Amino acid sequence: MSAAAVDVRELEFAYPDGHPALRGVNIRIGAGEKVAILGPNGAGKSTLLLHLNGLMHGSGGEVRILGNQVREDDKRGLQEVRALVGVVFQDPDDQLFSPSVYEDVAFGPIYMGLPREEVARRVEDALAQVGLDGYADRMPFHLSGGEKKRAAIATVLSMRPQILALDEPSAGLDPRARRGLIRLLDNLAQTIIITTHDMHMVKEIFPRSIIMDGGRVVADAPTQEILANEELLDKHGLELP
Amino acid sequence: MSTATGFLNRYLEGGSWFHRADARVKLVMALGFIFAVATLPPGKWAAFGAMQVLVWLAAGVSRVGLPRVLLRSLVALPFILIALPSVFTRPGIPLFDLNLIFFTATATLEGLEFFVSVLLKSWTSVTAACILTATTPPMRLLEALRALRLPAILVSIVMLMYRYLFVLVEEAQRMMRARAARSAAIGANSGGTLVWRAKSAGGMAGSLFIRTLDRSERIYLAMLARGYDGSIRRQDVPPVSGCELTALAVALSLCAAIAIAARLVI
Repeated sequence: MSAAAVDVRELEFAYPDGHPALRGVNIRIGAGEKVAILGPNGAGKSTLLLHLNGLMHGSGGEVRILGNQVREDDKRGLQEVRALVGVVFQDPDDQLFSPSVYEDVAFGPIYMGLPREEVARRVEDALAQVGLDGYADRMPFHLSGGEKKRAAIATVLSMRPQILALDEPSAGLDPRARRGLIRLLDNLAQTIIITTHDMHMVKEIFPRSIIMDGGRVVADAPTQEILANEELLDKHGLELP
Repeated sequence: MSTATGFLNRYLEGGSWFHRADARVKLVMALGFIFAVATLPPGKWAAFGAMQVLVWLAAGVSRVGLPRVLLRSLVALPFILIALPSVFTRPGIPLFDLNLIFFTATATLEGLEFFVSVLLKSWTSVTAACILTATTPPMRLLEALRALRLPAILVSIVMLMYRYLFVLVEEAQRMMRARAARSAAIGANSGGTLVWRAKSAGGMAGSLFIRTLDRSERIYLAMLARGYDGSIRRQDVPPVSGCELTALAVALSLCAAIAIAARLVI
């Protein structure tokens, strides 16, 4: 059997103040899967995403990306994992830190050590993929909410990651921008893991759902099954779409 | 948004030679010009005039609009006040006495000459800087600074500052709006005491600082996520074209010629 895209085993993590965020999380995600992580605020969803590319390191358990273990002391390995897993943060203003869209999208490829022409090509491709052709010279600040979100996704697409991890991608978008985002995510071939409260989006394009609560995985099943279990949804503060 | 960007963005779209020219060329040109202006000895009016002609010619070529350049160049005025005491402190031929309560200040011709020279020099220099910022997007300007060997870490800090100034201003505006929304006034005693208001303003400044700190953490994570390893990498920029180098050489020679002539000839 080939290595899973993401293999999280018995992952534990506590914040510096001692508050536990993850208490033995087990998740296995195959290549090309589209998975939504649901759950109330503070369930540990975002914390889990940050573990996937080594921005946080558990106090117990392990994370494997395409078979490679993510280790805090392996700087080279970390750089490789970060090229494999593109993390898109919730607030695009955190993700877009450069004075122009071009520079932001080029940031990852430049750090990957790619030659100039390749960087330019990747930026162009990534912007085209998210429907922002011609936005290269714009200032991130001048973009609309939906455009910022797309630009933020382009900043990781340009690194050609095999896995995308998005933290609440549809939060704060108006219906049209949200629709465009759903179409974009649906068309991407990568393995996609999102955290969200947007049950409509989950129902539409994510075949598998995982519910987290209190730092644990409490359900992991096909989305249809999860959405059919009203009792389960209610218990973890989720609503039917 | 509009207030923040309107205030901070000095760049104006255009298609003039200055707009198209490489930012490095423009930056060196402007710095060379300002340096030449700074070296002019006080009272060399012909040289000041020549520099004025040069800077306004440049303003014309930039097609930014002379009134706009003039208006923007006036930001230099308040700073020139610092030189005002020199009218009285420089020794020389007395012009008039100013009777202050405790002592009498005597204005001198040399002092006045010095003051007017500083005024002209600052104004000319600022005008040149205004033309530079009006024809060069801030990012290109920062790239040019880096190309001229300003340490990469400083350039990065300025870039981040420029990027997040807008976000910060917006955040501050939102907080002030939230305060205004809850600042209803009923009767004469509304508004609270000065101390109380000062406290709430201080609280706002503090919370803005905490928010900024939190944001900087998140930005750092976003940078790490895309492979940032503590070193600053930027792409190499292409070499400057021969034509622009020639223009730069001509402009710098002209400035140097005026500066030297001011010392030796006039």
